[in-house]
Amino acid sequence: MGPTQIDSDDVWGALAELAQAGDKLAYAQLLREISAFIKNYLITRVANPDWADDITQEVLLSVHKSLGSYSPERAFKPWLMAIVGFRKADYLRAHYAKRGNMQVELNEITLKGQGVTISGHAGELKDIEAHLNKLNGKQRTIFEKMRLYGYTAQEVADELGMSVSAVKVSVHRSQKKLQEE
Amino acid sequence: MSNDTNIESMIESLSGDLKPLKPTHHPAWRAIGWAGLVIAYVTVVLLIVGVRHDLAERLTDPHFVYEIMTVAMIGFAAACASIWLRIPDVRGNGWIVAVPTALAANFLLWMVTMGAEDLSHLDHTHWNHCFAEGLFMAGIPAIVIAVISMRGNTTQPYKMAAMNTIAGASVASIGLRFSCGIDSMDHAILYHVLPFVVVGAMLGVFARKIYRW
Repeated sequence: MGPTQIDSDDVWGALAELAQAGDKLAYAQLLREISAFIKNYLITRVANPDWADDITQEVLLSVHKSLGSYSPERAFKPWLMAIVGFRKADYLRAHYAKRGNMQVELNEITLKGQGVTISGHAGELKDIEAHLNKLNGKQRTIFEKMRLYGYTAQEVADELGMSVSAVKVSVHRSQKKLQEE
Repeated sequence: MSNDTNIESMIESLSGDLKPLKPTHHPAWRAIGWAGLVIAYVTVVLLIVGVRHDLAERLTDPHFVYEIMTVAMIGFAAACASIWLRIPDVRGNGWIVAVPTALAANFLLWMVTMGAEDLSHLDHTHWNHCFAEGLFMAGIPAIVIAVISMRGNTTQPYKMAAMNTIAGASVASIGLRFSCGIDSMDHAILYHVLPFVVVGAMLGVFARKIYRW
């Protein structure tokens, strides 16, 4: 344990003792300091930064409920970390039980120009783009319109001033080229 | 409202609500209090349901006394562990759970070893009598330890449920040894211990809900 940790533990222990005696200012200072610490601790350990905020709030409530169980004779941080670990596990358990990992809130959908909503699939998207870049400009446009955006051959032909059969041939050749890659 | 604003308003609200608190007593005091209550309660129940006819004679048998003392130790150790588990970090005494667990496992193994040969001529007639009396004896102590636990702040609800089950089963087991006249070990396993362990385990499934805080 480094010197900084020892200092914060001592300070938080002293603040918690004052809070137990009813000192509201000391308590507010304690909660501010530990909330920043907890958030920093959680942010690298959960998949979504918003979860870190939610869990931090749960922990603050738990600290409030269990403040009387802290013994000033003991270090503060083990007591706090037991609560953090418990609330984190509780939150994640509830989240995964509700299949929260399979859902995206409507107001959270930001495609960020990547065209994917599941970050784990970003690598696949890059691979697809790398292959599409090997097509020439017109081939790629036709292929994307038909295979990615669902236009019919007639619509593409009308838009690009081509015959329907020429569009179909182009798509067929592009597809063959991509399959050979 | 941003998340930081939420946290700040929560801090203001929580610190505004703060009232002076009495730090939790040392867990040992609460465990001793529980043990005192259990002894008084089981004594009263035994006066109501009556003791076995040969109790005076059995109390001179070192094996019987050793068995009672062992179960009493298991029950007290489990109650201590449960009360320590009320504190989020168990005050650094996480090892305490190992004591009743090891003692109970050892005792059960001994019971099974001693009772295995008796299983073929098992007496079924005392099921209702023993279970009802056991519930009567263990009911209040188990409820008291469960309430003590629920008013705590455990971060290990399943361990707490296991400790409470061991404590309750121990009380029932001791009480029934004083009231039931059957000494065979298979009877003790099946009617004095197992039902209470099963009930405790079934309740333990809901431990996270029961000991939620």
